[in-house]
Amino acid sequence: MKLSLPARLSILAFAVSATVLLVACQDEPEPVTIIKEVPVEVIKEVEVEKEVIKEVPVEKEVIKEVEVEKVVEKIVEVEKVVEPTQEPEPAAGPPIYQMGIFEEPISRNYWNYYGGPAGSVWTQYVLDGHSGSLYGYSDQRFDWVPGLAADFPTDLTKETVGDGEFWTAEVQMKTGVKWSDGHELDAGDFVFTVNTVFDLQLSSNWAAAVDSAFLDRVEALDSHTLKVFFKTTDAEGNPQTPGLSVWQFGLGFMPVLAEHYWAPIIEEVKKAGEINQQQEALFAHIPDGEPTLGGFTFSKWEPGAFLENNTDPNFYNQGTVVTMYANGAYSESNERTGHSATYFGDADGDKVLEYTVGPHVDSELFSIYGNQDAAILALTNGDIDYVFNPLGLEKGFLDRVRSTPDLQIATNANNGVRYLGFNVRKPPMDIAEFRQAVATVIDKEFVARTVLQDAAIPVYAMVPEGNEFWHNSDVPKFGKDMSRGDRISQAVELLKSAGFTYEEEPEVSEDGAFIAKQGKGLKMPDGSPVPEMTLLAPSAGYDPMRSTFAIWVERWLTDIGIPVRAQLTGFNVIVDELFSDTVADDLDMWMLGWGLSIFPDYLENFFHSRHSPEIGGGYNWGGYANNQFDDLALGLLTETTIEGARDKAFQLQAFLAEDLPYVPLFTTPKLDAYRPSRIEFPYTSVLGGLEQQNGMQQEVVIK
Amino acid sequence: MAKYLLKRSAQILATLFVFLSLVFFIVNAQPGDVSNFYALNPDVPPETRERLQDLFGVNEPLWKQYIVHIRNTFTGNFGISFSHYPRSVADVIMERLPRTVVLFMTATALSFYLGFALGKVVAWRRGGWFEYTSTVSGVTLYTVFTPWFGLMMIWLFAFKAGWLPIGKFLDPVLWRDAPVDANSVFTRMILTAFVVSIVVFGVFVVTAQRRMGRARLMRIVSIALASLVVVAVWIASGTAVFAWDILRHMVLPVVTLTLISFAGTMLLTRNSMLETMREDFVMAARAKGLPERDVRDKHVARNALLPVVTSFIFSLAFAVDGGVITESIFSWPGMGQTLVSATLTEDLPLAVGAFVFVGVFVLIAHLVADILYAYLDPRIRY
Repeated sequence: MKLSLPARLSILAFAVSATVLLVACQDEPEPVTIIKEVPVEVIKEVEVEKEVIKEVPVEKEVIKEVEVEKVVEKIVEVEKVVEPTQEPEPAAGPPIYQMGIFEEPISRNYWNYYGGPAGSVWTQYVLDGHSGSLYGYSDQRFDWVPGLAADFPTDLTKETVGDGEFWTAEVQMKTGVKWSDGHELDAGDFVFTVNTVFDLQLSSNWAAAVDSAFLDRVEALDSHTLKVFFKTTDAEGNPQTPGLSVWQFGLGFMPVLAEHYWAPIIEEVKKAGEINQQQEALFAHIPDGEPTLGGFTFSKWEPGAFLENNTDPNFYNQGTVVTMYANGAYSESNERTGHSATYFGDADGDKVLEYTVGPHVDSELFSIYGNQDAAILALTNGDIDYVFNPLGLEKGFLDRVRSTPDLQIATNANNGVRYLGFNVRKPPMDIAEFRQAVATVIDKEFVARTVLQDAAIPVYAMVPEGNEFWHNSDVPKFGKDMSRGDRISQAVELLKSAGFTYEEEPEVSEDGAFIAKQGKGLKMPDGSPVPEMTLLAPSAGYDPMRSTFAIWVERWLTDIGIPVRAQLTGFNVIVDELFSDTVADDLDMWMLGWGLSIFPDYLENFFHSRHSPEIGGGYNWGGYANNQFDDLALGLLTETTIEGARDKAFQLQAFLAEDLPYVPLFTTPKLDAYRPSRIEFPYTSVLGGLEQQNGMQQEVVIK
Repeated sequence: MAKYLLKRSAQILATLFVFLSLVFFIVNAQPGDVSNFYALNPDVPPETRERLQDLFGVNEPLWKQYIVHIRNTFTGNFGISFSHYPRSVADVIMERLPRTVVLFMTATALSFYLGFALGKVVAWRRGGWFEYTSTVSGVTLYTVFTPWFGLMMIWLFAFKAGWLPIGKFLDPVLWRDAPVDANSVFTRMILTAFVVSIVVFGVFVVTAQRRMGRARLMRIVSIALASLVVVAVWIASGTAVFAWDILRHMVLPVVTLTLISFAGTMLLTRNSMLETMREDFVMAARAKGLPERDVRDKHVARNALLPVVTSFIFSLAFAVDGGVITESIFSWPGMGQTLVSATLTEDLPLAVGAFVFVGVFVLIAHLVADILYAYLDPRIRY
């Protein structure tokens, strides 16, 4: 039987459609529909009759719905979406931790990453397991605990050495710690790293760790004992004390690099010419066989495709059992090395966390994807176990992950804040009551909960709530829990109390739910009209949440007669404006965000008058200057005890929440998606989420 | 001809200069600079930003940067990439180029072959059911929203069916212990394709004057033999498995690109064929009693080839810039993705370098097309 071309094409089209349908139905967790193709009966030469039989489902895939597990802790909620339908199959081959990133790391050179242009978050992820420091944060609770140090340092002592007077402290380093190439770590490595930072005038994170305004030098008293010398006076001869941010959370956190590998390279680098050329030469070096300290060594980098790190067999911390107790005690012990230590009390009572430090894998693979979409697709397809999402998971991706049976989402508090800033050099923003009135009318709860559907969490203090130890919850909260009418009334009262006047005061509806009449003709205390102001905020393409907030802020301020126009623009435009020479004159208000550190010394960075662009070229773009605040902030920097620093941080937060150079707006929950059927983390409740723990490369266990 | 070539070369140089200037000023018109990405870390001292600006030279006056840019470009030095610091721009481009060339040359060649073959048939069966079906489906695919179509292809054939990999150009687990790097495999693939093309071209030239049936047999046997030799060489080199892995990853993007773009060639061929079919020599060929297939393929299609070849040459030139969308969707780290990320991260040297590289390629392609015109159509004389 010969069929005509149309008939043949029809059959072909039918077959293709059937194939597409069959393909589309594969792996669906729903009843299977089997479409059978039946013989085509040809009546005429060109007519084809098709019959499709849809059979009753013969098989039903059952998804075991499990109850949603909510770990209700103060900051964290772990949501279990759906448990896998089957027991996970044992991992084939050597255990490899497969992670997804969607930008290329820039360099493997640690000097470049920590102090040069390679300082991207993607570089950070892949170099996480390459270094160690004297001290670090404990997992989950962020206690300050020894790392390469054998114990806490001696107290700072004022000591006269030669002609000079110094604050000094001694640190005993752990013995038996080996680099990945088998060399033993000693005090010389630490001294070498510090001296290199000094000699090559390295900036960025190196300069933050090795603060030359305070640190004079570090000496190795013997192979494993360090002595640190801090200056007792600043450049002007004023007395100074190296506080926590300089010593314990500064120099103590500095990554240590291997002298026996880097010393000859640094010698060569120093021959490169001027200091800039020396830095360039250092950053240009491509490490080959560089010894590491953090549990992993570099194995292979296929640009654009993947980077692999192998386990370091000499990792000093492997096998260490870390236990944290409800009473605040922290203990660690390692049978292999014989190391054992307990801090912050007695190791007894309820254990809140216990795990064994790895690596528990043979290697870790960072697969590089073109974008977040591709990475999430690879995660849902089972190609990788975890995806780094430094900018968070968008709702669409979140829904996709939630609908994938063997994926789980860990929800954590984020250590960051998005804010509205004022240029307090210019009227009316230089008047505290004006700023308070603005803070009062901004209904953060409404935007966060109703408009953004809980994608944002309102904040009132500059230290986010998730940073429990340092967060002061008892700060003034302008407008909190007020109705719209009350907000407007209080804002108007605040303005009037500062001498502002209206031609027409705003009026609230009878039920107090909305504005009945906008305020008009607002005049400043000197009688001049309030000028039109611009609120710079990122556009929706960059951050839909901030742009939404900006639009609402514009509306609410206009309601009470403050003429503000939200200008939604590119991130670079805003940053350019902030760093411009004319920032003092051109800037009105802006909306940006900060990713923050645990120790809140950033409060000084953001608001101390010495960091105004016109003075020190710092981050105090709004030009906030308050002597009382400055003294308090410097007090935080020079504080040498944790409790004292906490007290000062609390005072600073309260001060800022009252004076409001920034109006803290919101933070976002940190969402991490991973595959619990293949990998297991010792804990998932942690400030900043799994992402800020760099995917827990040393702790993850492959099932 | 020599005079014409000289004149065209001068024009191309002038165009290149204008192009370089435009690229530089447009790219630099973006607000901010690369240091913005390091500026917003409260742990980083503020002076770090200035140091980075010094390091990258972005705080120099624009006219100084422009002069350096022009000088560097004409001396082949595109500078250092900010986002791949301290690698040179040329190094980054040479890393990304083979990947794009392999993917997009393959897709371009396939889509032109498919488009040309279909275009011939469509023109020959004008007004028929086949023409309507091909035209409608071709134009539908030609105008489809590319990101959506790409994602649907991934969803259907990679995610749901599991037949093909989801994005990327290789399987990291397989390549962990690979004795070669991906770029050397890509380079070998390009060389292989070049050699095979030469062989195929040679076979076609040698068999052109022979009888149809015999010629076809010789072509099939020769190409099969050449393919066997190629496969044997790859297997013997121990890298066949890696080339196969790349080929597997290429299937989806190539099919997607081919489906999206074949209609352009098809319609161009159809129109050109329809014009040629009205020529007297076609009527003469028919009058001689030549079979319809011979009239179509040897008389009409060959004469209709000219605009298609021109279009093909330009497409090959543009293939080096990759497809920004395709490369992003399929996680194919070629020139397109490099351009996007360089622009987003304000890596001006890399963005400018990539644009210039593509621009030079396109200008050369114009020159080649002009020369080919004269070669393919004896009526054209410069």
